[in-house]
Amino acid sequence: MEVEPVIQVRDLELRYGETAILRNVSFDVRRGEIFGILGGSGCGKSTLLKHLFGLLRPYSGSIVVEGVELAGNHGNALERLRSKIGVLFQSGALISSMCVAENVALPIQEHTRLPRPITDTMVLLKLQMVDLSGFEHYFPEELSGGMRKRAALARAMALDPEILFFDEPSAGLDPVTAAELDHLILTINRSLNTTMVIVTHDLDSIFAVVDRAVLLDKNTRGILAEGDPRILRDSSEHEAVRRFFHRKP
Amino acid sequence: MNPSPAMKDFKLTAALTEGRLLFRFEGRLEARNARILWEECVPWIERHPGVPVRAELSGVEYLDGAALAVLLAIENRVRNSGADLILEHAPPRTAALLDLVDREALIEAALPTRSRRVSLVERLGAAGIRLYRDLSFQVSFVGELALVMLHSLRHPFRIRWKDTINHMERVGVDALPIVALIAFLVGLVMGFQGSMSLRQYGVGVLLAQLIALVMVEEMGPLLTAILVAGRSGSAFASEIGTMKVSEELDALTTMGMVPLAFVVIPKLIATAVVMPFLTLFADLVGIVGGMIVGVTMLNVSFGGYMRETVSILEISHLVHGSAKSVIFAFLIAGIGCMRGFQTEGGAEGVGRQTTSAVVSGIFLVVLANALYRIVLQSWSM
Repeated sequence: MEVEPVIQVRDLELRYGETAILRNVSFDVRRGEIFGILGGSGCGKSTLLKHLFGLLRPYSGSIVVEGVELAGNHGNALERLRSKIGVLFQSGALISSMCVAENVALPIQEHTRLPRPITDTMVLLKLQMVDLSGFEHYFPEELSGGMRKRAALARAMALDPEILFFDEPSAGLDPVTAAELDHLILTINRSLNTTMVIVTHDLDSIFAVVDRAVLLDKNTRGILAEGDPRILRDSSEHEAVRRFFHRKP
Repeated sequence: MNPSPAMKDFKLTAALTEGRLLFRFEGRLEARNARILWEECVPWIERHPGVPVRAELSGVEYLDGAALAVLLAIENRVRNSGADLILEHAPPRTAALLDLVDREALIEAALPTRSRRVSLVERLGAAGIRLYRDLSFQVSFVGELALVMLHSLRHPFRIRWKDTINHMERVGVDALPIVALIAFLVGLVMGFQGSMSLRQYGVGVLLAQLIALVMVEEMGPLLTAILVAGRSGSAFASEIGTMKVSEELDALTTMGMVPLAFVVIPKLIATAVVMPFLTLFADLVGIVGGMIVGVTMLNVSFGGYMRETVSILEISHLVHGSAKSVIFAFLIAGIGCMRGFQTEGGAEGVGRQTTSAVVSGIFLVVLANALYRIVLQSWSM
């Protein structure tokens, strides 16, 4: 049975000024899958991700997320969409003047009118899910890199979004913490059926969590391959794809 | 059984059977209807305190964190009344979510309040420690800066001259329009105020001397310094503060560079060089502002006004004004850079130190101006 696409990207062209970053990019992200955007440094992965959650506008082409066209629409529809998505930025991007609990409560207070005891329980629940119970009143500067990332993940999942976007979730984490984060991502995906889009070039994470992926190419500024990363690794006919997945120069 | 009123995505059926309260949930339990869910359940619990509750979840299609939080809050209420709540027949996906969390820990935990009453003694103590640390940092910063400056004087080729010239443009040239506007308006206002008094005594021509002396000796250096503190002192603090929080300063250190030499010396030199010129420019524009009042309101001729201005001004006045502006430049740039180095935390820390740079800069300028005047006065006596 064909699963409905939750994100549809068609003929996308992204530019920084006059420089084309990506051209003719088309793909679908299906509901409930963990979709990877892969590629070497500087191929436009993070830029593409920022377009997918409406932070940047494409030069041309179409991006439809949950039925909302992002290319032209920046009104109420986009605002409504924001309550359905969560983003984990590479640096965590926690608000430095707020403690962890306040950071996690921020989207809940913004998008719901739940009574205070429920909001507090939600905050505690999300922090427990990311194993940060007891750190509610720590400020971001008082946390380690991994803890900051987990707190940011708790904030991203605060409203149980339908789509979670991750920009290099394992960057800067030790292998054990990165593996724990991968496990957490998988658990959330499987238990809440959350669609996830992950930008990464961490091969361990790719094989551990990603269901399907596009591999971007810096030279052609487009998609080099699309599919299950394990299959691409083992049976792609494209030399550059095999090199990427086998970490060969 | 009392079915709840029709709701968008879920149905709650509640009943009291065999000494137990039964909640049967069906449909989607999620953030957008969590409040309704809470408001539907609470009256039942309050009407039947101490009665055990069974929550039947087999009909739940979807349950998210917000709905789970509601269930936990309900369980908490039930327990507080001396009874228990049992969650039953959760579908696999809901069960997986329930397995993710430690319900016992969440029910027992309450989000502690962060604010705590702090006594006056504690506050005074904390303020004293902050002041002591601030002073220690200032002393060590000034000492280190003096050493770096000596080193730069001995090795001028190592100064980052390109950066220095860029800063001269930003501190000096870019500030010309605002300095001109403020100095002109100050000259104009002083002219209006002075003309009213002087006209009464029939000595309107002395307005030129009044404006010239006040602008060159006091107002010119002071208002220029205040503007530079607001524009450039704050910019220095925020630039260095941002570099500190993004570890750029640490990167310089690891590359074997001295951050003070790299980021402070160019700013210090640039400010010290351009400030006297900016001050002279402010003096001139302020005098023009006063002259407009003198010529138009007191009927003093342009030539007469200029003669009076030149007659009262001596080289020493200009030297004093310029000397003060160089002192002010060191204070503004020094405190701006120092506050940048004192930045801790993230964006909030940068903002705090930027504010502090402007406030401290202006305070030090006014203090230095007063001390300069007192020393000069005692010297001439």
